[in-house]
Amino acid sequence: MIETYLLHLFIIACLYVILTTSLNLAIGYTGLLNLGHIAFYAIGAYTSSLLALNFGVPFWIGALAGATLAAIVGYLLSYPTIKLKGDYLALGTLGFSIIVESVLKNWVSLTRGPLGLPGIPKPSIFGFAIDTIPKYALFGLILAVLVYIVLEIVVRSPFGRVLQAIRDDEMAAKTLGKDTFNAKAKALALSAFIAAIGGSYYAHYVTFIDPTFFSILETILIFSMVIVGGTASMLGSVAGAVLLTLLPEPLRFLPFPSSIIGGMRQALYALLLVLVIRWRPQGLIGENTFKKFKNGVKR
Amino acid sequence: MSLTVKNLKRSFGGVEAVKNCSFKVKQGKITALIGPNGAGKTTVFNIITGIIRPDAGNITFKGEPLIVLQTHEIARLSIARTFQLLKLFPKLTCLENLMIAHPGKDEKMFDCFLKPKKIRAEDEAKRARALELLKVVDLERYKDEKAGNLSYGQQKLLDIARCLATEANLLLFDEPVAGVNPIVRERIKKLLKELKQQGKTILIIEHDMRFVMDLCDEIIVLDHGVEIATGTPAKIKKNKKVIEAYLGVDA
Amino acid sequence: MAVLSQLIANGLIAGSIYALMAAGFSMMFSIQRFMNIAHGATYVVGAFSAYLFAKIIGWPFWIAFPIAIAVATLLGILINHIVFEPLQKEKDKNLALLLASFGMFLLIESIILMIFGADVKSFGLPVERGMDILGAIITPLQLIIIITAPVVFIGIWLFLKKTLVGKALRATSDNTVIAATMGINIRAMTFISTGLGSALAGLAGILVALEQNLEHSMGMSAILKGLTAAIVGGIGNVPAAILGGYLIGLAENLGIWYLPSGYKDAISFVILIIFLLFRPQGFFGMKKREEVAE
Repeated sequence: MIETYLLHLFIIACLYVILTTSLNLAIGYTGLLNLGHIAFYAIGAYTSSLLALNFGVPFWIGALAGATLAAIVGYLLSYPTIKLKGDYLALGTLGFSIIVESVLKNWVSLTRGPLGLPGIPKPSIFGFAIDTIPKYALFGLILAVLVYIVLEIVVRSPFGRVLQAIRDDEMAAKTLGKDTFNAKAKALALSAFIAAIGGSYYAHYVTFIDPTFFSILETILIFSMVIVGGTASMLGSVAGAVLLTLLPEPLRFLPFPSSIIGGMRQALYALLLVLVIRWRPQGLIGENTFKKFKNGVKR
Repeated sequence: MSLTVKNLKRSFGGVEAVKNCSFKVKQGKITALIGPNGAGKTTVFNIITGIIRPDAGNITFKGEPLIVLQTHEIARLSIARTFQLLKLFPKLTCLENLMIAHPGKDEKMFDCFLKPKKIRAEDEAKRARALELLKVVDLERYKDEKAGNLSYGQQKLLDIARCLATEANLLLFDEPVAGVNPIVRERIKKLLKELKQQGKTILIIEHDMRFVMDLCDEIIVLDHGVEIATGTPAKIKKNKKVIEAYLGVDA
Repeated sequence: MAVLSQLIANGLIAGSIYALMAAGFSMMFSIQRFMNIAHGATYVVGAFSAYLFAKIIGWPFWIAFPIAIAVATLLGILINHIVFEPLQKEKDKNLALLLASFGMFLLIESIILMIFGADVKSFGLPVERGMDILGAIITPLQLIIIITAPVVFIGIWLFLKKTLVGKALRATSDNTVIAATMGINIRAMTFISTGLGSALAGLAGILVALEQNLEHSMGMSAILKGLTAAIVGGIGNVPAAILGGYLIGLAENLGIWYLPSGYKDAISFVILIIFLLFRPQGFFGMKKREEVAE
């Protein structure tokens, strides 16, 4: 069964590649400290699961519906929050994600609350059923590669250049005639769209979701992956996602109860995050997230 | 007349930085905005470019009112500026800093998928123009260097080049030669003269009087947020009010 | 009427805890200027050390609790010294410190989890009959919380207003540079504010542990509420943060009159977002003076 286990890890790694690269678009390239990414992931997972369970909607339509909904929410979220700067934006988006989590827990008639949604069907795309682990791994690989390519093209395009300019100095970008609000809102919408795709991908893989999947801890996990991999580098995000998916796995074989293992896993993520911020702010690959270049000499 | 500023007012927490300030900037000339520290010069720049809203007053550029517009909309009317404390994009390369200033089509998110050829062609044009400008300010060696790694003088030059890359007609320079060495200062002076020959309208804030007197066609003097004199360098040099403003009333 | 009194009483109990968290958070923020999420871990450590000393080892409360508060205080100072202070030098220190404090929070929480396990713990104090106060049923423990918090706050207020150290703290929070030129030792001020702030979190943790249960994951909600209260009151201003704490406690508990009680947490975050957008300086905070450009 070792192959199944390894393939399972691969499927999870693909999920985190999708989540971290899309989060990096917001954090690393646009400078939006978005602590609410997991809410978009949740919207994707719940939308396509509910559509599949209640109306038998095919996977790809459900996933697109969830992603579109998340993109709209992301775009709308930018109206109130985008004027917030730095850590205030972080708090605002964190608040948003907690509100979404609390709606998932409490809108019982729709989401079944803490009981979660069991029996989510495995996806089938144009008659091709993705019902085995190897097939799902292939599906995950295709999806992750696709997401990676799309994002890499976007960040290298003129639009991506504008995003990076906004990250470096929004005021200067404005005086060059860039509609920075619009660009940030679009970047957030794209980031949300992709996160939601990740949500559908995961929900239909594990076939069961509940609100605990979408807690702050998950946010911090993907944040750690982005920081450890290195911001403003898509390749860094892939490396961070894969590394942090695999690194705690050996813990699984230690002879401790699962709560202790869970604690060790969390401690490992947290320790890595702190160590990287403190001693290797550029992460594995990428730019120093926390260094602002001295812009000229202050007189 | 290119730019007209009329009865501009702006105060910050009770301090009137600009009060009833009016002046005009002539098309195709180099005009200097001078005055002692705290005269409200940078505030005027910030109001012209829409970064700060005035409490009262009016600004028109070629007949169009500016104060109802947002910063990026004002920029699209062909107005560009530099900042006193440089505002380059430090993590972008020098080349990218200039390419982004190019007034080409608005950057759309999906254009790179929908019309990749067109985007590539446009980007090539931007790159070529940016390289040209880097040559003008003699920074082509650093084209792939991050702007944040340049020296202060080089950053000043790059900032001016970025302002040129916008191909704007009205260029606002906030202390273009402050803190730069004499060689760079001469280069900047030459550059501004060339720009004038190309028909650009230039408004500069500068404390370096020799630079201002050598370069400018007209000088506007602000003191405590009010325009107190306007005229050619020769006239301004002799103006009593100006001397008083700079040296104090008892001088 | 009885329902209303009960909701107000519940609001005051929750508000006392939030106010303690917010006061500590704000006191640290006023000097260090970053959002210290690890403050939530200090709270958990306060609660669990009290549990360790009083329940597992069996020391009497009057010895166990002060020592537990001391442990929390030391922990706060230590984290600040080892992790946060070096990061203060970073250019983009807000981001680095916010994330690092999140990391430290998780690290400490998981260490607690590994030591004490995931099961819910309780001091197992005998449940005493509540008293009827204006129609609200309040247990003696709850009464202790409602009374302890204001006593502590008056103490803080006197400390900040009357003592030399308190005045130096306020001066430093107003303007670090000027305070330093006046000969105030900024590092000492950081030390004191971190210690005091952490002690308040430790106390809050103990009070909650006595009245409710202990869980390793109890810190996140506490720090988020404390932080919300501090922002709603006016960040960096200790008395405002205290009022913010009571405000959030009351708003949450009165809010569930209309909403399902599961939405209790969401209420405070809706308030947080509204404040961030429309009044980021908080209820009592002063509007930041715009800098005169020039």
